[in-house]
Order: sequence, then C-alpha cells, then structure tokens
Amino acid sequence: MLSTLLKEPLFQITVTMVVYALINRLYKRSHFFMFNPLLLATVIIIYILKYTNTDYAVYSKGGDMITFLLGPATVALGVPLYKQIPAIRSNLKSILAGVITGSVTALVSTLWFAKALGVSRETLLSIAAKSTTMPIALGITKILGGNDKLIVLAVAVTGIFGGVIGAEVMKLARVKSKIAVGIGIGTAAHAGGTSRAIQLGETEGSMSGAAIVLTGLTTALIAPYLVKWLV
Amino acid sequence: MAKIPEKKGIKILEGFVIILLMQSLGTFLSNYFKLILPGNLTGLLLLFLVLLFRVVKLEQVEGAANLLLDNMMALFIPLNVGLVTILPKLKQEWLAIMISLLASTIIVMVVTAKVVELVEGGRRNAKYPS
Repeated sequence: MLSTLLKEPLFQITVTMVVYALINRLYKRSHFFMFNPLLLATVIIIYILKYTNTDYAVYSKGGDMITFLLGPATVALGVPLYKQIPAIRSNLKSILAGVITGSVTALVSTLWFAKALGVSRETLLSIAAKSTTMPIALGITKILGGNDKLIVLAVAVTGIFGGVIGAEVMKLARVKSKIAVGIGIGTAAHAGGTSRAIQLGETEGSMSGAAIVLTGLTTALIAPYLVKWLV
Repeated sequence: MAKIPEKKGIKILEGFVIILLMQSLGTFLSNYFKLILPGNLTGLLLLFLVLLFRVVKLEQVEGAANLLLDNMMALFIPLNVGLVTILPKLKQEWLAIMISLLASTIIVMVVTAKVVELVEGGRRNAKYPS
C-alpha cells in the first residue's frame, strides 16, 4: 500500500509543496541566504527520494505538473512589466542603454569564461542565459538547446551571487549614481540581486526591478544569434 | 463578510484564465510565425499589451499573477531536483561553471552601471560628476 502511494504523482506534488512551504516560512523569518527556498527544498527532496528509493522518473510524473505552471508564471511577468512603466519612463535612456549593454555583456562574458575553462558545448548552451529571470531563462535555454535543469541552477546561483556581492562590487567600482547601481544589479542578477538593491534604497530597488523583465526580453531576442556566433 | 474571500477567489480564477489565454495565443503566434521569442514570452508581451491598451484591467489579472510570481521558486523545485540526473557532468564541471557565473556577474554589474553613468553624465553633468 505505502509503496504504491509513494509512486503517485499526488504524493510527489504534496511532498514538494509541503517542503517548500516550510522552508519558505523559515526563509521569510530569517532572510538568511542559506535558507534559499529553492536550493534547500531541492536538497531535502533529493534526500527524501533517496530514502524512499524513488527514481527521478517517478518523481517527475508529479514534478512535471508543477513545472507546467511555469508557463503561466512567465506570462504573468507581463503584470510587473506593466506596473513598471512609470519607473521605466522616468529613466528610459539609462535603462535601455544599461539593459542592452548588460544583456550582451552577460552572454559574451559567460560564454568566454566558460569556454576558456574548458566547459562542454552543452553546458555552454545551458548557462548562457544565466542573467535573466528564471522562467525566461528556461524558455531561452530550450530554444538554444541547453539543459533545462542546469540553467535553473545557474540562474539561482547568479541571483545569490548578485544578492550577496552586488552592493560591495558597486562600491569597489565607485559607481555613485543610485540609478546606475540599481540597473547594474538588476541586469546582472535579476530578482536575487533586486532583493539586495531594495535594501539599498527605493531608487536602487525600483531601477533593479525595472531591469529584470527587460533584460529577459532583450536576451531572448539576441541570444540565438550571439550564441551561434560564439559557441 | 463571507462574500469578500469568495469574490477574491473568482478574481484569481478569472485572472488565471486570462493568463492561460495569452499563453495559448502567444504559443500559437510563436509557432505559426516562427518567431524568435518562445511562446511564453510572446504571451508575456501580449498580456503587457492588453493591459497597456486597457483591454484587460490590472485588477483582473493582478491576483492571479501575484499568486504565480510570489511562489515561483516552488515551481522550479522539480527541475532543480532533476539535477541528480546530470550529477556526473556537474561533478566534472561545477568549478568552471561557478567561476564563469561569478566572474560574469561581476563584469555585467560594473559594465552596465558604468554605461548608465555615462548616459546620465551626458544628460545631467551637474548631478553626477565623473
């Protein structure tokens, strides 16, 4: 009885959601970056699967139903983009200049570094979109032909990096303009960076947020061409 | 009193339907016209456009959109768990991947911010002296 229940998609979905809800609560209370709900929940679920002897193929029957919701979640990004119109308008030139340069720089630098370090072709395609917000990165990576699991990890890691070092990097680089700090962090490290930018100040936060979806769209438009040329 | 949450639930359902419609239409357009944008991104732009041209009101979709966006990390867990399927490859390349991600993130931040300061400097020199 129990072993058949363990193989039900219902069980996999329930376990995933329960673990996420618990850790999310922990994270919201502490805001400690090690309690990152995605990464910690992933580790715990991998252990649960190991302990219950469940194959990933079995888990993903339930998992795929959760993954399906990423489509609507991507479309839902149209709402923050709409709400950011005033913020984008207020600094249109700066945001566009920053987002376009940043998107190109992100693709080129990631690919150059990874190539120089001898990373395989499939991995290159799977981390190229790492500076875009996760659902958009997933869409871009599918078009590039990369691995959907690896890009999720790469985007999460980039967000954590951006959140942890963003403010210090800007200080070291002597960036004085709050607008530039915000756009820089948001373009490089999407929502992970933005959560730190919000703590720096209102201007930094709103500029960082405004850069997220625009960076995703810009990268989606240029990535297929740039990657063909660089990989 | 009991009516308020009920209305909220219907709003979220309605919003979800609008989002699904935009996704379907976006996917159709991307496939049919072989657009470079993936269907979901075309759907994102369509949702943005119907909001911009007031075909759909913000409060019609806001609830559903926030529900999806606020809990988006939960939706990525199954894919992330799938990393176990590429573990051998990760063991081999993780350091190179981490270094590339970190180095690129720093470079993108600095280059982007400097470009923004240049653009701003040209526009209002007095406020942001180089």
